[in-house]
Amino acid sequence: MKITHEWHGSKVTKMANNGYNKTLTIVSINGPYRDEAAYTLIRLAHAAKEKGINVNFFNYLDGTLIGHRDQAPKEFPVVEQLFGTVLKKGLKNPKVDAIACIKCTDARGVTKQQTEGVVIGGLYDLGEWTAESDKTILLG
Amino acid sequence: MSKKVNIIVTQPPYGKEDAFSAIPLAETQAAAGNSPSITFVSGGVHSVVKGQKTSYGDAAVWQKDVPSVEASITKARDSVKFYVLEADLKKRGVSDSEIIEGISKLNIDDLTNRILESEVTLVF
Repeated sequence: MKITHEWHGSKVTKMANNGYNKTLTIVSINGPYRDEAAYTLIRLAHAAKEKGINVNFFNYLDGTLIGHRDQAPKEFPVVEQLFGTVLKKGLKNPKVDAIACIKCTDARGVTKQQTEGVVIGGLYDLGEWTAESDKTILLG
Repeated sequence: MSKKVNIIVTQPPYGKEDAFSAIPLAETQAAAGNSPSITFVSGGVHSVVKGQKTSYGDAAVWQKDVPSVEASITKARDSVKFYVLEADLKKRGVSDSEIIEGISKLNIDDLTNRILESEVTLVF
């Protein structure tokens, strides 16, 4: 079952049980490149999806930079593209959804620079996702 | 389904954004129907020290004070339970009289039990 609601003009579709048994919510607080956390959570999401598990990304604090458009590192894989690929592959079941915290994106000036598929939302969305998900983890 | 959400803060206030940001996260968990708690451990215990002064100086230059973690804790106490690891307070020489009122002290067995009892544990 999908639950859709409006948040700051955007439609947020949350994954209540949509035919798959499990949902994993991943909270990220670190930005890309300074450490490996972003690559770890993306690999984790890939693996979970392969197992038929729905994934929710809640990007918080510097984690909101993971989905920033136009990243161009010279020597590392592009986190935005890896992240965007997981989101695109998650358009169908099992689903992958992503919300970026609006206070955090506004603070960093990146609200309008989020990659396709990232919805701007708030901490209350995380509270609801936590209540609905089988597991919620924070990668810092 | 309502869940027990056990948030552990290991980072000290002000050096990083983590301690300050864990508190609104906990408050919104309560608003969404979950039961949140925050336990301060390691350097995180400095968040529960009374009398935090957060100004960098002249407001004309610095625009505004950095938000006070102490004030955030005090404001959130109705919806979030706050704990601190006693051994980590002692290690850092923080006495009972220096702690914000209403913060409960835990030992490591208590914290282990809280982790086992909670459906969700998030570590900042």
